[in-house]
Amino acid sequence: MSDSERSGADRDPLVSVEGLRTYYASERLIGGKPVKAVDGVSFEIGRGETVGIVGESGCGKTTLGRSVLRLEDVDAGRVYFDGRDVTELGRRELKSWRQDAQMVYQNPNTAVNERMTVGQIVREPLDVHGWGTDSDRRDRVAELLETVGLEAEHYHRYPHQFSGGQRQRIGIARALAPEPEFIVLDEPVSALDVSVQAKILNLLTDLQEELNLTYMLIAHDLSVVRHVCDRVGVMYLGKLMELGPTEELFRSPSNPYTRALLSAIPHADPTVSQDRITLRGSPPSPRDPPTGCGFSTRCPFKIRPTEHDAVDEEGWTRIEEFRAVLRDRARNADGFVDGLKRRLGVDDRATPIREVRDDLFGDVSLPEAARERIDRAVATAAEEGVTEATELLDDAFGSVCETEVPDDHPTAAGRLSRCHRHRDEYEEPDEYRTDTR
Amino acid sequence: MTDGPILSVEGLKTTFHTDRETVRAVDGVSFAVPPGRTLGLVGESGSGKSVTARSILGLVDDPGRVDPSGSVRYHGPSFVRRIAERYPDAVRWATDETDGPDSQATADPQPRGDSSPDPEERFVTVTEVRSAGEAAAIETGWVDLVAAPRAVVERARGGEIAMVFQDAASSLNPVYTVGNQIRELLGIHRDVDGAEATETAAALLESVGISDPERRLDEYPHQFSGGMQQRAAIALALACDPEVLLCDEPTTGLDVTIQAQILDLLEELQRERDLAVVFITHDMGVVSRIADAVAVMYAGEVVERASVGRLFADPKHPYTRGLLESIPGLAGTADRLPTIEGSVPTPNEPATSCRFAPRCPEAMPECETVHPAHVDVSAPSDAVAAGDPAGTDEHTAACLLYPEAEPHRRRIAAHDEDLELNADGSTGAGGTGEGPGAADRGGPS
Repeated sequence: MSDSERSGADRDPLVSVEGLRTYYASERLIGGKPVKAVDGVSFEIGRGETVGIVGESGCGKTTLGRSVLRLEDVDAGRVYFDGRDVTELGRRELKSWRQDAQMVYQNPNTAVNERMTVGQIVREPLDVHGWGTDSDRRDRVAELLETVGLEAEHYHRYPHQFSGGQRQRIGIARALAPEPEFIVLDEPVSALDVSVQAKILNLLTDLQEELNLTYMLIAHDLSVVRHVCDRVGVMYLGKLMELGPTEELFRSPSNPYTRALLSAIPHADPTVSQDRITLRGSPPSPRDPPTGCGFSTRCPFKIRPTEHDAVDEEGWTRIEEFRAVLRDRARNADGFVDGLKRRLGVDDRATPIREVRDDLFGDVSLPEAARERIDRAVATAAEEGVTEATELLDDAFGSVCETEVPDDHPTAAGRLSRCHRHRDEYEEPDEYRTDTR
Repeated sequence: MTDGPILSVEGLKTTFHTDRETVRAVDGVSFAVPPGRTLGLVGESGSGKSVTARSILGLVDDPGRVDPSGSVRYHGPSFVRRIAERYPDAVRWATDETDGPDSQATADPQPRGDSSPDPEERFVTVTEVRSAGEAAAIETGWVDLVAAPRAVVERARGGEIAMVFQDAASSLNPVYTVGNQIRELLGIHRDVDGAEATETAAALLESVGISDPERRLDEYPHQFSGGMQQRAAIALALACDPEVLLCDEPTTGLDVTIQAQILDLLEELQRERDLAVVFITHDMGVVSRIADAVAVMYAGEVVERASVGRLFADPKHPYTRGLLESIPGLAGTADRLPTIEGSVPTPNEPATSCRFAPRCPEAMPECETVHPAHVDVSAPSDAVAAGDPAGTDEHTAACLLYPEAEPHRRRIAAHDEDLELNADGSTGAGGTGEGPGAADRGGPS
């Protein structure tokens, strides 16, 4: 898609999401924090466009898709469909709008009712929306089955008689039944083998052209996204970290997280030598996200405080690891049982912080200033508690990445990236690390 | 020890008998892995790759049966020695046999006669002996885990050959702490307990990259994230210091960033311990990243075998080609992905034809009647171009299109013994010599 076309799509988007937030309330009775599954997401989907949302599991991409369709209760923000605010719709209006906006689910084995025939499954939305007469519906189902590459004779068969790929076709036929304009595809091919996956992707491409459909494709498989999508949004901990046209974003990612994510895809070509960024740890819990930038706990591009310039790369790795251990302990110390144990003095199961320090820093040389801060944190942990020690370390080694939530920065036409490094006073990610281009 | 394989699988067949049909889930699979190397076993679901791994460890459940005609040979010298000592009657000295695949091994006169009862039951084979004083030490040989009694297989399982499963969450017991599970294993296999076991367990967790291991030992699997569970499962597999690690889709449920961590970890552990790894996956990207050699499976059979460089640079079997082409992102920017028609069949009939023929774009009439054998498809000239690491340049495919240089009739004859016999002399005689016989058994060398 060319630039002019894209900006054309921007002028008249079919779907426009503004500051969407979906929180799940805590199950705990007291002291629980909500899970910020979707935390302020804005983007637009042009007519006939395919926008991909990628991210690791738990980043909130499925919740985002469901929220856009109002299958989840939205806490804040707006979703405009064809200029109409769908977050305001009442029950009746919502039901009629759902004919225009459909969803295809990830797992074709669980998404359909095993006790219904294929015909009944595909027909159900037509029945619900009172579409035509009985024989109209029947004809429509037969036609739909043929559209998705099944046969009209399959009407009376049951889902278990079909393979995974065929079941996904049933799911697609069902989504197509009420003639929607917009379909949210939630990991439509991730449960399928590559050769089957290719067929489903081809089918989706054909249908889009034929029926002038608009797609929002949620996926964790980046090669699928690259093949199918016009634009991509990269999600991490409920926020869009980067948004831009697919090819540009894949070729020159702006955001550190996008870079890390892309570099982790194994290429099906052993001759491609990859500069891999291997991220430490796994994404933090959305119930207890880091302050500042969500990616700051794992980011290899993190801004470091200037007073510790003398610390080398290995030193920083160890410092971050040490901080992660303390953070983890502090989080556990908040728990009721652990708190009790600590108070009763039976919390002797873990290695003393002192030993953790010796293990981590025994074989690296740190500048005096840094070492002094760490020693002080160790002493604080012993005297006052892990939480206090963590705060001390945040103070010493933290930076803007941990204190402020980064803004969206336009990095090129139609591209946004959420990272402090795009601010004028810091080095851009690609200036900071040139080894990962 | 020489550069021979640590694990070799020869004509492995596993069938599931049900009232309705007999499913030949694994139908004559052969491969070999040397120490320190990784063999990628790729295929779509239903190709029989997981059953292959389970058959190696004797973990096939009823109604599955591993056919005694196949063999799983474990070559670890100390294990062979131990088993030979314990089951002296089961030892077959390679010198007694004339048809042993490795019969070129030195003929060492042994005091033990061939008095042992049934050659069928002799599951330990010794091919080389070094005389050291009066007691001769076994140098090379193998234990056939298909023929061996259950007790032997159980000794090999975990201690010699360990397995990492796809779903780490279900391979850990949810009601025991991770530490308890590792300690239990150490107690059973290595006779370590108490404080020493705890220490070893912590060291294991640390070696798989779990920080703050002492504290983690007291946690339950559900307190671990998906990536950490897989790390813990790998720690469990390594607890008994195995020589071979079978990884059954260990990264399939994981996110790419976590997958990259686990692949890095496996590579590091392999280097440290000189592990032989059999890595089962459906993901061609993962294979290209981690494997040294690849075996492509289709409907219970290996259809192509090559070094990773060769397989991706120059895939020969039409199925491999189709599979590689259907990966998005590789086929360039084409709007439509090339696809393979139809779907993977259930191998419920004996293989008398090419099982891929119904879907094959290059199928010919003979494909329906001749079962293709593995033939050498490596053209020596492009070995250098493909950037082949030495020693892994074997490239075979089971397809009637090869050997490419031969005329049609001789090509078919290379795959079909019957045809060769019936052939009218003129074509039959020459084309058979080096064809199937040499390349067919591509196993241990």
